[in-house]
Amino acid sequence: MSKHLGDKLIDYAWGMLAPQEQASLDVHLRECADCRQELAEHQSLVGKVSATIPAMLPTAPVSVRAGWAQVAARVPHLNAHAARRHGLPGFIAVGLAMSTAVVILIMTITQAWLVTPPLTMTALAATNSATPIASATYTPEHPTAVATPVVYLYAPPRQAPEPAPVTTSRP
Amino acid sequence: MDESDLIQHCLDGDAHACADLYQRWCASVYRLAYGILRQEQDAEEVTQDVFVYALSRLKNYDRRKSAFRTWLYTITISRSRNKMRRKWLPTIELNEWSENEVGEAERPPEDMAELQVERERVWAALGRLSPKLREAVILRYFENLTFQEIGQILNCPMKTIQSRVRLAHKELAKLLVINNH
Repeated sequence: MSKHLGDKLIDYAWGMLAPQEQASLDVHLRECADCRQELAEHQSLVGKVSATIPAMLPTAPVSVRAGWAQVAARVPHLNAHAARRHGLPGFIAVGLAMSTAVVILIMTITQAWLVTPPLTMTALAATNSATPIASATYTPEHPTAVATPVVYLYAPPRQAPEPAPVTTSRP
Repeated sequence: MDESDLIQHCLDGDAHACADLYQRWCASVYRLAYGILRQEQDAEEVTQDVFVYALSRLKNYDRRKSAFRTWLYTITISRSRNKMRRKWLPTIELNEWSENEVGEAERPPEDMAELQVERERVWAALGRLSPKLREAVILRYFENLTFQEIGQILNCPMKTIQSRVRLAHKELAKLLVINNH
C-alpha cells in the first residue's frame, strides 16, 4: 500500500478535496503507479457503495403514501381545520349535544313518572283504601270507587288501620 | 405550485397543501429512514412521525437557513435515532441478514445475480457500521447530497462529516475483505 498520499486518496475517491488540492494530487498520481493503484481500489469501493445505496433502499410502499390520513389526524391544527370544513362549528355542536342531553333527560323522567307515580299519590291511595291497592274493583253501585289498575312497585308501609266503615256491600 | 408557495399555503392552514407536501416528500423520508433503520415497519412509523412533527412546527422552518429537504431530513435523522435508541436494534450478522432478506423466490435473473450478491454484501457491511458513520454514508448517496448539506442535516461541521466518511470507508474496506475470505 502506498504511503505517499495516505488518507488523501480516500478523500480524493469520495470527492472531498478542494480543486487546488485535487490538482496537486493529480500531479503526483501521474508519476506514481502505487498511488494510482491504491486510488483505483478506493474508487472501486466508493463505486460499489454509491451503486448499492440507491439500489437497496426500497421504494416507499403504498401504505406510506396512504398514511396521510393518520398523519393529518395527529396534527392538531389540521384536525381543527378539518372540523371547521367538514363538521359543524364548535359552539353549534356543543349546543346541539346539550339540547339532546336535556331532551333525553326529560324523556327519562317522564317515563319514570308514568311507571312509578309520585310518592304522595301512592300514599294517598293507600290511606283512602283498606283493600290492597291493586285489588280495588269497579262496582256499579260505587262507580267512583275505581282504583287505577296499576300495580305499584312501591307503597309506604301502612299504619295499623282504623276499622274502616264498610262502604260497599253486595246485594 | 413551487415549494415555497406550498409551504406558505401549509402555514396558512390549507389541509390540501399539507397533503401535497406529504405526498411530495414521504417517499424520500421513508427511504432515508429505511437506510438508517433497515426495517420497513420502523421506517414507516418514523415517516409518519417526521411529518406530524414537521407540519406541527412548520413555522419554525426558516428558508433562509436551509432548504426544506435539509430541514426535513434533519428531523428524519433525529427521529430515526430515537427509534433506534428505543428499540436497541440488534446487530444482525451478515449471513443471518442474507438469509432473512433474500429468499430464493426473490433472486434476480442469472445475469443480475452477481451484481445483486455484490450489493447485498456491501449493504450488509453498511449495516455493520456504527450509526454515525452509516448516517454520513447513506446521506451521501441516497440522494447525492453534498458534504455541506450532510453537515447541515447532522448539525456537524463539514470536516467532521468528512472524517466520518473516511472512517466509514476504512471500516467498509476491512469488512468487505473479511467477507471475501
